[in-house]
Amino acid sequence: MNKERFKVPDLDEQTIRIQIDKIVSVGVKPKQSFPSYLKSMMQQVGLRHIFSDRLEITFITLLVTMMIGLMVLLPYYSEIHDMYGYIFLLSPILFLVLSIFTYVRKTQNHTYDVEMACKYNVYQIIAFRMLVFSVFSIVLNMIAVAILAIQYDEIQFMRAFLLSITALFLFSILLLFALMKRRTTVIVVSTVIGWTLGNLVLQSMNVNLYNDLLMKTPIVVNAVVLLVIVITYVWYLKKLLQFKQREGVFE
Amino acid sequence: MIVVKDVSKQYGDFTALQNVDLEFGNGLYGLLAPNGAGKTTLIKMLATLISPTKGEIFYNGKNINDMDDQYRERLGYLPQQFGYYKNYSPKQYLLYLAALKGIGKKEALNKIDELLEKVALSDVVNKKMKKFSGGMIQRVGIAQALLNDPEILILDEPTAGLDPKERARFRHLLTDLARDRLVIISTHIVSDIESIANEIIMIRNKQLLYKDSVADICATLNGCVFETTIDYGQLEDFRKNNILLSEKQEYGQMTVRFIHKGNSEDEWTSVPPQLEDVFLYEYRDELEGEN
Repeated sequence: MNKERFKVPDLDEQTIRIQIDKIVSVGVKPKQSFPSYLKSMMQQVGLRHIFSDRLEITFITLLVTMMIGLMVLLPYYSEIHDMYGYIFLLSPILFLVLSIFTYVRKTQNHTYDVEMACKYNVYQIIAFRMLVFSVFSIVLNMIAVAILAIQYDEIQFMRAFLLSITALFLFSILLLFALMKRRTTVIVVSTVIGWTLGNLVLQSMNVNLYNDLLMKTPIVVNAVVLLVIVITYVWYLKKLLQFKQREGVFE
Repeated sequence: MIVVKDVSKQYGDFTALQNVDLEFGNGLYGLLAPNGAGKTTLIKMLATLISPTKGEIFYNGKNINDMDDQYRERLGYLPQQFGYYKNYSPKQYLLYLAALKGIGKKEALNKIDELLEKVALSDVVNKKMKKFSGGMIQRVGIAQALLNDPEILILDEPTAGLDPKERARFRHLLTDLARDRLVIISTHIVSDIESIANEIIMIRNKQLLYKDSVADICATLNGCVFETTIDYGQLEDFRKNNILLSEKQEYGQMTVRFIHKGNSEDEWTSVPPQLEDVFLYEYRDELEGEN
């Protein structure tokens, strides 16, 4: 029997390099950056479908009205020096309620299986919405803090604004961390209750360190802390976008 | 091609599947087993909704979980319980799912019209789905699975709620689709897949029992399936000595179809085994438990 002999042609360095590049470009999927991923998701899915839920839109409108009302009414019922504490406590509330509402609706809905098998799955939509909600919350918090600062001279706008955004992102990280570790509604709800109770207890006990942190930390330090927190938030959000269902169906 | 390599799935102490090895090329595969045998677990793993506790699943040599959205782009999936938004029309819902699948609006609109025509829902395109029957909802489910013209189509109990005419239409549609893609249908209804599947996969005791053509699976009972007529009074004794597959009352007597391994009796007529016979025989314990 004649054995077939393969003749390997002698290739020059340049041809080898060109062929390697060609193989790699075909075989290896280029890693998409976070902003370009968000952009292509936005283009392909579109805001209309990311926020397709009419009930959610009604809910958002209701919440925004309540939040602004609360911010305007709050100084009548509390001391001005407690205001920073309330800003820190309440700033993430809007974001939190919107995110949890989205999360529970999406993961508990009977459409979960169908949507999970799509190119952009439930968790990617949730992460995208959270990002939009955080931007939305920043704008709204800024307006609320500005209203307070205009009404009361004792409240410094920059300090109150930084506190409000720090609280927002700090809480977002806690929520994302809870989502990553164990994706159960109990964990998410516990995070919310933990945040609210923790802050209320610290505030009502008049803990010096807590008050000093809120009222006396230099604004530059606040800004640096905020920067670190925002970077951590984006990192966690990227992880949620790349989330893969490893453990099993939602419990 | 999909390769399921030594896959097991455990939920705590409960083992749903154990050491399953499978290969799927283009064509139609019927995943046939009684309820609770692990069909949906396997299907959900193939749809990346859950991951194996042990082993891996590859599509064209790449792990499907690592492929992530690249795999889901190629996938069409109909879950056992097809969820929908009650206030949406089929067109709205399919447009929404098309967006999640990354399909542009213009392309999606053309595809939706074509698919709703295929599943005979053209006249209710803009009607709210809350008024739909179970069969109509299921047909919307079938349409959504085909939106992205998937290379891999996975359907979990797709004929639930369909009437006989719809089932026949659905079988034609599947035969058409399976010509140039991989179609996997999970069912416990033998007639859904008997005439159209290239291969049947059966799972028993959490492990793979058969993966073969209908003819080869039926051949495992060659010479063992019989029919005969007995008096009604003999039925109990007959049941004790043979594995009864079906019984039919005719003119005061019983015509029974049964399996008997060993010497046959003269009045028995040997009949060619059908897939239903193998199903009833292999899963007799599970089916008795169900009853």
